[in-house]
Amino acid sequence: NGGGEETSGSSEEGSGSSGEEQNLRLAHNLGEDHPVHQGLVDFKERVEENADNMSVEIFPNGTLGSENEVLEQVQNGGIDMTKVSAGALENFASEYAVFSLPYIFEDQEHFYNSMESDPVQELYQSTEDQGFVGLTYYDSGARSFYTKDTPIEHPDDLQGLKIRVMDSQTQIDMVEAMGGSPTPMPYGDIYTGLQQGVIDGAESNPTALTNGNHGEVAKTFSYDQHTRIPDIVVMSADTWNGLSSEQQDIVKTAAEESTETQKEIWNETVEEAKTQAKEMGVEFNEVDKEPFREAVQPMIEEYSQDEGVASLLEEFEALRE
Amino acid sequence: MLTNIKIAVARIVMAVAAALTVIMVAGAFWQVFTRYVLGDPSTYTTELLKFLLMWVALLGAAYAFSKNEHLAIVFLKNKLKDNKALGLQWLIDGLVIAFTTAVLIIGGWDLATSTMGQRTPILNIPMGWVYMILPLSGTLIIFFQLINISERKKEMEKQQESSESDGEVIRE
Amino acid sequence: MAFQAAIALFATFFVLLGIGVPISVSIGIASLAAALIAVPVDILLFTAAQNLIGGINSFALLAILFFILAGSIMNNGGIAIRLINLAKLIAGRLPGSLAHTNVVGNMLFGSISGSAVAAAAAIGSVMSPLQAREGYKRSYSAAVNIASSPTGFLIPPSSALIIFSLVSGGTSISALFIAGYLPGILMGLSIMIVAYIIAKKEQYPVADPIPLKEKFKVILDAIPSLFMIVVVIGGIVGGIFTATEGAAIAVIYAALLALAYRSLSWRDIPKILTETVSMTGIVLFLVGASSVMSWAMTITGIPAEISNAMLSISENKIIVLFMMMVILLIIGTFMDITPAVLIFTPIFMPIATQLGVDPVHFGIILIFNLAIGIMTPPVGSALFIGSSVGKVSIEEVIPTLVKFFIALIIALLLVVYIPQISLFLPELFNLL
Ligand code: NA
Ligand code: NA
Repeated sequence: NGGGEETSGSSEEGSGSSGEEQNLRLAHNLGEDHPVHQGLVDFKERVEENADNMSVEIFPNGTLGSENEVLEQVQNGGIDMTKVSAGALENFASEYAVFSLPYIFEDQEHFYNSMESDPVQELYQSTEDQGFVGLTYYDSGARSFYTKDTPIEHPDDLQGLKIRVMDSQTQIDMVEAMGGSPTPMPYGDIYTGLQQGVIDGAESNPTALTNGNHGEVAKTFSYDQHTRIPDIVVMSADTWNGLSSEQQDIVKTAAEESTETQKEIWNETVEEAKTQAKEMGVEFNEVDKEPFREAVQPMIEEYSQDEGVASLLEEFEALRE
Repeated sequence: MLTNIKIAVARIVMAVAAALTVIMVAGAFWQVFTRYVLGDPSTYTTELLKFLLMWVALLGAAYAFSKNEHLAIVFLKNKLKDNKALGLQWLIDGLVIAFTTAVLIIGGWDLATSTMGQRTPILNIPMGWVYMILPLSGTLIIFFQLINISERKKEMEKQQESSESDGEVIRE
Repeated sequence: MAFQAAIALFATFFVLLGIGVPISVSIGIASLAAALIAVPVDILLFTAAQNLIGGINSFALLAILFFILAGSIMNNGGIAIRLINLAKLIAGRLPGSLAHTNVVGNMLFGSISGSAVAAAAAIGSVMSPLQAREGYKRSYSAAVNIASSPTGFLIPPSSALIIFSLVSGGTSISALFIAGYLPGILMGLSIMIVAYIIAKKEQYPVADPIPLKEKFKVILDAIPSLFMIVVVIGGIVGGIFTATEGAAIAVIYAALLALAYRSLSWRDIPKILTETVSMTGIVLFLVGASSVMSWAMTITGIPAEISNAMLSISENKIIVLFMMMVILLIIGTFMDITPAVLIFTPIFMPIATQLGVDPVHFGIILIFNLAIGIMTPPVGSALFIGSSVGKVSIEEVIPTLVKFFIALIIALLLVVYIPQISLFLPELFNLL
């Protein structure tokens, strides 16, 4: 069970004293069979293997709070690390909104290259005065629309459809730009919302069909792949600055290596989810992305008025092909 | 005098919470109306209503302290008499104040101030302002409890006087 | 650590509860005492504050405020008397007619308001003088009223079910609402059976048949009130709105109805809003404090420890559910339904689901179980209100109440061991 009277973060204990036992508390709100948890376990193993004075204690399943609550505790120094969706981070640092924009990544390869570029490393450090820094990213897949019966092959198909979106202005703007009616709603209400017709569809990656059982009520999944919103592994700025540079190296390397592990597990998980969803009777259909891309251009331009967002977009653009 | 101040403050608290409640009913209706009738769902109401609920709940909780309406088991309190009853009541009031100070004021202030940089997803207001209801209602609860404490002493004295005189009547 | 924390939590809680500290504050302080074992002080207060407000940061909880408001409007809005007339028509030809009228009245009232106390007060205060006039024993009429008042916890809409839905991690409110009908009706029927037997023995009169013409008038009168059930529950099940939105529609409907009956004036509105805000504040402050407790229990591993202890006695579903039932009946004697749901859902729910009990079925078991507690001493809100409107002392009413209590326990056993009673309707409506 969870404990740790010994040390919490121990940020107050001064910097660099590598002789002290350093226990990192890492909390997240996903289950233990989720690829993110497995990636974090990989991180924990690497840290504990490479540093003789560091340990990582993982609190999964949201026992220490929701995604936002845990991030607030990370800012406050109560918890040392967590993983946050870049979508949630945009509420804490506006540049992170860039990852919620549709069609900024060509494909998975372009997404990986962009996430591993220098500008993103700088972005990770830029939130230090907010009380946290980024360490690495985890793959959270490509998000597409899924609906009860009518496939979304063209933005016109969204006309008049109530699409559940996450609580996020970018997601609302995106669905609106494509012609649908964005409907923010808690994740837990999607199943009954679809079943009873309060909403016509939702958008996520294929694992929602199986983990959330949405495949039982939504029978068409249309591969428009509008967004790839990464998860970001973050650390409390106090904790980070309290580590010796040797410890910082170990943590950073372990984090980046765990990303490779997580990607593999993620890709397997998505494939499994697709197979399972097909068994549930869900049809997957390929769509031409071009009309969708065009529909959101004005929105991208609007968001590019933020300098931080614009310069990141330029860097990502340069990494295309 | 103190009692009058308490009543006045409690009325203001109630007026604000009641107004917010009316807004909430209208907001929820608007959400259904825009989605079902207009087919263009309002996107900001869910978030707004959630935040208003937090405010109404904590204002309502503070109001209920001013009226001593919070659920409690009063068996022992009703059994005790005179100074013992007053002592126990003060202990209870003290514990309420201690909890409120620790969690609503210290913890709540810490939470509110450290989340001023966090924006709410849709209305884009600092989350710290939403959380600010914690120290605010905490202050109100302590204010009401302090006046309750002074009222209780007076009440007790009054009761003692009347019961003493009753006693004399019976004895004669 | 879990053992130490459990001792700190429960000892602090029961001592504070016993000396009369408000339940919400008792829960809060006990949680801090337990969490202190695992968490440093500076983090403790921040996280406690976060959990307190996080516990009420929920769109689903909005429904509670709305249903309280709707109930308060109806109490002031002349709806109760129309429902009583209808109840008379439904149950008026059985021996002890007025007692049966009271039971059905409570069920009808409960199906538009979520509050047992409001039902006991509104229906009981009308019914008890009528019954006294016809020679019913006051202890009998009060016991019938008290025992049938909690039917509204199960017959939707129900705040207790909403709170369960929330703390159980989002069990479907629509499914819970529909699941509550049959157990709620069973609860009412079990009371009517006992009321019938006693009435036969005491030779209580059967009411005269109601003339056909009057029957029509009674039904017509009640239709607008009943139509609210159709609008709200139908709207929720039919997917026009969510439970929360349905609750707001109930408010608007009740207000329009009360205005139409001219039984609600502008002057009543401040009183109604004050009642609602105050009640919401009390309930949601409890919810917030309980979410601190739930967090404190989780980080110290208490639920897992209790679960291990219970499952080490037996892993047999029938026996474990029986143990839970006994514990909840004991808890119900001194604790109100809301805090009990908040505290015991996180402890018992994982055990129940591990044994294969459907979450919706478990919710109904929990609420039925705890609902019985509100009519038992030492702390029973329905007992207090029912005796007071029935003009009878608690000591006098208890011997009669025991007979109803036994009937309710039998009904509870049926609900626990026959899942179909709860799950038949939600399955029929495709909500599971
Ligand atoms: Na009800
Ligand atoms: Na009781």
